Amino acid sequence: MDITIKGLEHSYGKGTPFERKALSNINLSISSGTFQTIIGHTGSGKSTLIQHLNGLLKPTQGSIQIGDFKIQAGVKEKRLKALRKHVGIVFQYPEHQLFEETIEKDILFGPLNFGVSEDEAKRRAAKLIQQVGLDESYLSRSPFDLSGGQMRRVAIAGVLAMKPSILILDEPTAGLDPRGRREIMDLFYRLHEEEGLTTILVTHSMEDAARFSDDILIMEKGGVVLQGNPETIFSNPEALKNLSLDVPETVQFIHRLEERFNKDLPHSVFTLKAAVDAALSVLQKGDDS
Amino acid sequence: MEELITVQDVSFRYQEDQPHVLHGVSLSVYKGEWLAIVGHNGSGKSTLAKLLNGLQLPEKGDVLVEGYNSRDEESIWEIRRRVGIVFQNPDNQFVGTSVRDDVAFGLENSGMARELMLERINESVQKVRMEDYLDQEPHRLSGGQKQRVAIAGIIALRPSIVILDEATSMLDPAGRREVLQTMRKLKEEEGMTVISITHDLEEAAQADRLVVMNAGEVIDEGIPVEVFKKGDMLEQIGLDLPFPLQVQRALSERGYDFSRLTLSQEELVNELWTLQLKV
Repeated sequence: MDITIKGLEHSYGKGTPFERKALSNINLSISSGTFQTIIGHTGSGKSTLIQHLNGLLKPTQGSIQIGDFKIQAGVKEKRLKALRKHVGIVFQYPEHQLFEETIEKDILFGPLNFGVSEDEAKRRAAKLIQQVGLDESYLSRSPFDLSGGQMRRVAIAGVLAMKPSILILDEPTAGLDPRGRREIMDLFYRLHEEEGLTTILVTHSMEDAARFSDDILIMEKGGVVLQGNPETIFSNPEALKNLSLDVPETVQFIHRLEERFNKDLPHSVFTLKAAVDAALSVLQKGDDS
Repeated sequence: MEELITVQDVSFRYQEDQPHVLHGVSLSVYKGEWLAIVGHNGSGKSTLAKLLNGLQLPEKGDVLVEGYNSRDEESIWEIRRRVGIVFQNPDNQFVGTSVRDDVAFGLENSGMARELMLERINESVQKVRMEDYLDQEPHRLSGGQKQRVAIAGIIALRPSIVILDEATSMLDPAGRREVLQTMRKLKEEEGMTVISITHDLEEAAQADRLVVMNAGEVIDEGIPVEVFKKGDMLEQIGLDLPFPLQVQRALSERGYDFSRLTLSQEELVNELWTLQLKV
């Protein structure tokens, strides 16, 4: 499902003395199957924006079109429940939302609510628990006996169990250790590819943004300030610095090498391997001279 | 070097029917140092922090803070006055309705005279550069600002040791820098001893000393360049090596010899320059 956002504006506490504009004039289209990343400081409007994508928040102005669903300021969309079946959100610290006695019941909660049969829901749970890196024996255990990282995997399985076609991830790796971060991001990327999902990732990690995104959106003060593919976004470190954002370490490294060795190097370097190749190329240049 | 904290062969579990979270942990913390304690989620780091200021008591072994033993009921308040902890979630440690009230909280609890209290509040918010926000409500502050206020509340009590328990892990990169810069300044200018519990190895690389924990045990200890020589061990226990070191390791495998370990990009590029001159 393609997403088209036109002239979106959102004010909290509209019509009260506490009114605060959180989003202004957002225009954006995300075509089906895109890995879209959103970057911005705390308070830049990222979370407000993604909550519009399944109708948790309504626009004060403008419209959001998702497939044939349309959410428009001042118009009531009667099919929000149907929309929410297609758009799954993994919120920050999703493990805080676990509540059932067993892991299986927790995973089943969403699909059963959306009218999926119990057999089908159980089949999904059995498959998903493995996909998120736990085995089936976990299904009968209490989610509250798990470690934080495992609880997060269970919560993610619960969102995936609704088979969303659009998956929204709000800082899904916050607070995890490096291995946990890598495993969770690899999981999302694999799902993105295998299931042909549209993935929208909100993150502070420039490394993840560079590695996985088709397109990156940078927000500040409720608006979009930069947009492009990773190569375009990270080819201009000055613009990012002005927004007090970092560039990925691989990119910093390339710029340092270029400066020191006075040589032009490829700029779309987002993996360790590519960074090592760049280092090898400057060292081998030494061989020739 | 003066030893401020001594942990002697400490074991701990939360409940009797549960496995031990710490097994025979021993370590020392010295005056004025920045000690990083690294380990993956669940390695026992945060439990150790709670034992260091008497929030939890050892099942076996002793924790001594400037000579006070946490097992001794009379000592517990002496220990808590000396060791302050900044926790992970900035929203869970705000108690006041304004920055001023929040910083005052600990001082009021210690029964300080009002005059002295006002002086201490001003002094400590200045040290974390939050003096312009004294009357602000907490929810109007950014995560980094909230953590700085938490630090102000702690240093107002003039502790000798501040523990950062993953205090930057929920912050965005700008917030993280703010908090770390604030603590570095306090360490340099006030001689504060800092224990930073983290899985950010970039941050750990800048510490004076490093303790590595895995499965409730201290498995290594030393200055960062020495500990980082054991890259395989760190990777095995789920920690990420700093990027410059990863590049260096990949190049070493290709037969390039480095004269030293490079923990920053600047050092790495300089080493590459030297190598290139040699070949």
